[in-house]
Amino acid sequence: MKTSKFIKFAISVLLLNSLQLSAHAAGSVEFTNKAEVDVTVLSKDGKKETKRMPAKKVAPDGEVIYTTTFKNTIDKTISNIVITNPIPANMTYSGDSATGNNTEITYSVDGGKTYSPAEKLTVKGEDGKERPAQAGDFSHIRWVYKGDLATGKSSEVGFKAKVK
Amino acid sequence: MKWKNQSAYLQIKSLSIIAAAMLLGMSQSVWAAGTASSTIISNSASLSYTVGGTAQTPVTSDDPSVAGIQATSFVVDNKINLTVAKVDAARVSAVNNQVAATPLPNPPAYLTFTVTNNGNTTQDFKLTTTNPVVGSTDPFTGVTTFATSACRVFLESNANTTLQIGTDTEVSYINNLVADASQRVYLVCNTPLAATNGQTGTAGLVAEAVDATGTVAAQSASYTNAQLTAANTQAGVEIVAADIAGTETPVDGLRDAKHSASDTYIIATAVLSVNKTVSTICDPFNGNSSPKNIPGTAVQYAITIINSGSASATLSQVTDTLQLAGVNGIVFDPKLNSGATPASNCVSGNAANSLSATGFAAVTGAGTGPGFTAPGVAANATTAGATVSGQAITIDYPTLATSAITAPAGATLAAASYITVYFNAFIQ
Repeated sequence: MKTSKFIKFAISVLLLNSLQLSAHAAGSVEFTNKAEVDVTVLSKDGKKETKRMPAKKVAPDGEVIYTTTFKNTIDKTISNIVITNPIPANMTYSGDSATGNNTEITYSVDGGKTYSPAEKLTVKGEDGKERPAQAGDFSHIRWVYKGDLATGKSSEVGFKAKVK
Repeated sequence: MKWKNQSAYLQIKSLSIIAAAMLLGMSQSVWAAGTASSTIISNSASLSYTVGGTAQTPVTSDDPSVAGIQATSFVVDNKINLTVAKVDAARVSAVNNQVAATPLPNPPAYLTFTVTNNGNTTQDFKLTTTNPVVGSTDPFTGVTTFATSACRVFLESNANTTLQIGTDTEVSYINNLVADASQRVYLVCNTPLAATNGQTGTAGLVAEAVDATGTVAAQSASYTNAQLTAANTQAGVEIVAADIAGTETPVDGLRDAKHSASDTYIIATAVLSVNKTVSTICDPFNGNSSPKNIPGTAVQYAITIINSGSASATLSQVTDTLQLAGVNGIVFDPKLNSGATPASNCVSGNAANSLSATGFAAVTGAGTGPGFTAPGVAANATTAGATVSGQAITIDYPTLATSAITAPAGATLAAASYITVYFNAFIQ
């Protein structure tokens, strides 16, 4: 009963503020997620150089670099860190692009229900037979951080995906 | 404490299910051309952890570049891409001196193209034409040998695949072509009078994507060079022109919101020539054995019309006047004397040697003719279409008939074929 009230409350928050999720726990972990693009710009001396800037407008086929940073902001060591990130709708994961120091990276092809290393995943092909999953089949990425994160320490994980 | 944690966990789990459902609901259809422009793509990661062995409330990621706690999101830009393609698999046959002015020849010889919006946004398209100069390479790996001119543009207005004058509209602007959609476009161009059979002339179609706010009556302006080549500032609506260069350079280049293709006419006309030959059939002393051209000799005339072009011709009339009767003249033989022995039969109007009751015979076939050897055969005798009045011979092809030629088929002379009419005259 109490739980369902919670959910109703949660729905109303969501409807009011779309994807602004309320779970940013105060002061334990600072957890940010950046979407960036590499843009070719001309420097003052006329040379082309690549500049990474926040993604605001991206055309189809454009690749976006997602970087998720987490920092321990409490005075206790935190453990068992698991980060899960869904590949956004209308985007395709860029193969082998997931990174994360000291993490074990697994993927889901079933909407986040189960996770396995990329090479162990299969999906049903159009012919009804199981085939090895490809980057485009991935729906979620999960990073399991090995070990603990001491007070004040931070780390980051990331991946790239292209706009369909 | 444990119960509370459980409750919090349930709450978050429910939230993420709702969030996932919302993401699905927000996702717009993905076209082959790409995600529709202005689609918002959001992403939020979640992090679970423990402190001192106790599971904590999972955390949802925040976009650090936006004030407040926000999902990380961006908007899909307008990608412009288009393809102009010719549809015709071979050069399109046309007559020389086709005039694309009103009224159009119906049906005119027309070139067929498609314009396809490969971008992710509904666009309008301005259409212009080009007339490549003589010597330009045509899309069938040949060389243009005449220049087209004054091309007019028609849009297919119903779903058929042919130009219908009076139904398909003459407009050089495609209004509101949605992503992935294609529009069929026809070009009707002038061909020069001087163009001869087998010569080729090319016309190009250039389509330019413009924004969809315009209409046929009030067309959108071209995107400016600044808009198309602006540095990516990741702010405001940006346009990415992803088109390649088409055939019609320098009008159309790489990433200029334009694309082009060309298509080619080939002149297909009838090329007629008339041959008239004469042979000696018989004389009154030698009969048909080495006859000489002396008074009283029968000579045979064969008038052959040859179509060496690549289109059929409709024949009307040929007239021929025999030299005046009298001492130095010749006189038409009303029986088409075969010249068969005896030599005494070599006289005008001899029924015994007659090959034709009209005095005429005709034969037709492929090639250059004449398709018979003098003096001919009775099977070629005409029943109509060839007449004589005094010294005036008239061959009227629409009525020409033999046992093998049926009027008005005799009036149509197919490409690479001939028709021969022959008759005799006696030297006076």
